[in-house]
Amino acid sequence: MLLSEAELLQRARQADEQALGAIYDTYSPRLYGYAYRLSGEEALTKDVVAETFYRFLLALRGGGGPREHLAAYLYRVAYHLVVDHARRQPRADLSLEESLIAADADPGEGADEREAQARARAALWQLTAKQQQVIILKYFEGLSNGEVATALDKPVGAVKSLQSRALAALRRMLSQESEGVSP
Amino acid sequence: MTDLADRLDEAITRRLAGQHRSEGDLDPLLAGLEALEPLRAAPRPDAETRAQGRQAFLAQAREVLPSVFGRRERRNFITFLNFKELFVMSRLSRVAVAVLVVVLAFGGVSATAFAAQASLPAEPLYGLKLITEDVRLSLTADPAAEVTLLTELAARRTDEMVRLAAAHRPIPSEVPARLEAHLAQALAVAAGLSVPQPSLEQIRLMVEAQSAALAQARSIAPNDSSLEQAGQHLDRARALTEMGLTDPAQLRGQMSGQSTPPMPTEMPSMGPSSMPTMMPSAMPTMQPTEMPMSTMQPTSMPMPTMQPSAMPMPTMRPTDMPMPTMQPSAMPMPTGMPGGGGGGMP
Repeated sequence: MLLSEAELLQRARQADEQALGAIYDTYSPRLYGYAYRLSGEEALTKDVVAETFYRFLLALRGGGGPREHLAAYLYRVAYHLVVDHARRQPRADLSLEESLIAADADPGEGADEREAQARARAALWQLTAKQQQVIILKYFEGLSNGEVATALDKPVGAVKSLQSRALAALRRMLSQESEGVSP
Repeated sequence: MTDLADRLDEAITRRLAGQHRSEGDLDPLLAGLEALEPLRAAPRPDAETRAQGRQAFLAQAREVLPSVFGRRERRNFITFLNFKELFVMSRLSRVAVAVLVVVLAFGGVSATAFAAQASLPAEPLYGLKLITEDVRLSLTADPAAEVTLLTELAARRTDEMVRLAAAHRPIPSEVPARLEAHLAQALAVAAGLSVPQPSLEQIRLMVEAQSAALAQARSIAPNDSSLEQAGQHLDRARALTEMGLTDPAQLRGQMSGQSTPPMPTEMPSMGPSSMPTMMPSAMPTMQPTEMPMSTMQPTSMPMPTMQPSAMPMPTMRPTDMPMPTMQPSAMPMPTGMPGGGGGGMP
């Protein structure tokens, strides 16, 4: 029997293991991809996913947590965990140029793909926090504008503006990169 | 801008639906998305990782969620007056015993106590409400449960202020003072836990929710000094909580008055003189433990390292300890999101 998200959450609050298991099965792969796109670190990604679900349980225990839009809630928690980690352990690959150096240092199979990902991630981290979330949640995770708005606690119009500004910033970065200027 | 944002949004929707076509002046902007395309190939967790993670999650649920039900039961005042249970509680204070003897001496007082739970400051039953809260605190031996109870009490104080403001009634200054005491005590107990993050996160969530509720009340009574004080207490508690989540050792040091950490980089609205601290002399000594603190250390295990501590730590009893307060001092605030104009990456 397929349960709605609201029903799943209601059962989860009652410590229903089937509901909790269904929630984990549904959202853990998505959170994994989300956290990996942001961090690029597999071990950190695993920790973020586990920690996100643990905090979800704590929220349920405190009588809080989401009543709806569970995906938006989980993405928001995961994002803050990645950022908290970054705050404690500053990344080295802050610029496109530095990310290229890092990628070059580890040649071998998949080096091109890693290099491309490192460049893309470096560009992503040049955006503001909200811009990053709009781009990842909408473009990669397939959330609607309404769901992104819920995750960011912003109106839909603000989400569209953030999206527009993010793409403008990316265009500037690409332009500077092609001209050999550090972003 | 709005028109551009709308047109761009429609173009992105088409692209996500697989309709690749020229979008005219929007194409240079859409090229930015192409630059991020390599990130689409994010790995998915393998079956073993998923199974381990699921198992760990359900084990945590069994551990975390049943404790809620126990706590909810304690909210029932009749259960709370379980006589046998009370006398096996070695930590029960004499004051609490005296209160309970008095309460039990009067038949039908349980119903009164129930009614008192909905009372507001300056109402006849409000004193009984506070007494029952203090006794509940006396009976809470587990530090993590104590933080939970204190956050609940702090939320109650805010709710009382909100209800008074909505009724256009005066808010006694004792109410924000009690709010401050609950917050300070919760932070002190949480800081003393070997793994404080779950409790700090609980405090943070409560503070966020109550700040929003208080903001609504302040829109009704914008000049009320008690509401203003309450807002300041919540702001300070939020700052301390965030500091603890970022650096538990720093919070511990702050709580015991041992550290003078660096000043924040981003707290423009609050100068050093308004920075909060817990009054060290009024607080129990919270000793940092040897337990590992980090929750985000890279590991191949899907289990998070944050677990509520089972170790009883020294806690403050409302009946025999001074009421904690958050005093202004040269306390540091946690730093804001790093990265000038960036998204949080330093």
